[in-house]
Amino acid sequence: MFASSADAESKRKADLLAQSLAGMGLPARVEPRAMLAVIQVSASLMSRLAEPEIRRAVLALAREQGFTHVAVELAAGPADGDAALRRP
Amino acid sequence: MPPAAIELPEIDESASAKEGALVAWLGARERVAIGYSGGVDSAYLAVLARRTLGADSTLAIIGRSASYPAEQWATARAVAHQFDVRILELDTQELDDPRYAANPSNRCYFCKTELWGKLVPVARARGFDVIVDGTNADDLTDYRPGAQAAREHGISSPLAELGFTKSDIRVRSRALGLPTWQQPSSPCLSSRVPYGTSVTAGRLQQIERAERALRALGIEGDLRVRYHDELARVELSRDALERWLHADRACGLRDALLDAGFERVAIDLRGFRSGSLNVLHGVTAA
Repeated sequence: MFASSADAESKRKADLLAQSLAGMGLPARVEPRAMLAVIQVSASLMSRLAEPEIRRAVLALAREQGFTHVAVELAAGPADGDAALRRP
Repeated sequence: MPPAAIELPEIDESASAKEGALVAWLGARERVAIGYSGGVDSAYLAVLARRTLGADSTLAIIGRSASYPAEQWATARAVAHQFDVRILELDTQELDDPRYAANPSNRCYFCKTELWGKLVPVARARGFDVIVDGTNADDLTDYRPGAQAAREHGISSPLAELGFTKSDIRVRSRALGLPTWQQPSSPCLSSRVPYGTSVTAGRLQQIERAERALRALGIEGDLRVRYHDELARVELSRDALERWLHADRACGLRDALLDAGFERVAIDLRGFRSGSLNVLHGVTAA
């Protein structure tokens, strides 16, 4: 199956958000689901998202790419969470 | 229901004045039936009507369905019992209406059409010609297609008409001793399902299990489990959000929602916002 142009655009925005997050020291995988961005970060970085200013920055970067909502996925455990990020 | 961290003024003369106007409004009617869910607004209205008109002239009517949380139902019954408000319970079948089950952005219109379509004739048959709901002034600023169905069935909304905000209702509920004064807002379970994703009894039960599991973990205040197919997106109050965004605690939250039937769990970084799915679908502004 070929990806639609909407899929491609969505993926492009997710990639741009992932680059921006990496730029602020928060490497993450970004999964676009329409206007929701689901991000996966390593367990060791999750607690940074508890800081309001970090969350505000992430939400602002996501808005720049058209995402109205950002949610961080909870991994099975610290080891699994880090493994998920290493997957290609 | 766990208490929420709600800050209210100790004395609010404006809310007291509105309550005086509401007593006059109710007193001008002989008998009043209330569409009653046991939420903050309808509980206040039912108790004030009972105090103003008496037990025989006040009837609180509950519409039960899969979209009505069991915990809310229990609260509705308990408040009615505590304040001697007579209740009548009806079953509604909005999920059997394909227009509702398809979950369009005006889903609430079909739900309220079913509710009022059943409730109004029952109330009138018992001699209650004035039927009211708990819509408040704050609700008028949100996208509420259910309000159209209320208008079509001749339902009055005295709280909105007299300018009661949610805060006013909480202040006066506390003054009257209602346990609902600090209860989080409690819209129907279907509000957790994004528009366009069909509403089924199974999905609503899954959401209800998930939210109950989060309460069992000790999470207080506003919370929602938004349904995104295999993914649960959890919206928490700001305090809870900062407490649970740590890998060690997050594991417990995740496990609770996997037990409830979700395959993946994510915490929304903005936290709880009423009408979140309206924003996600562009129905209201971000």
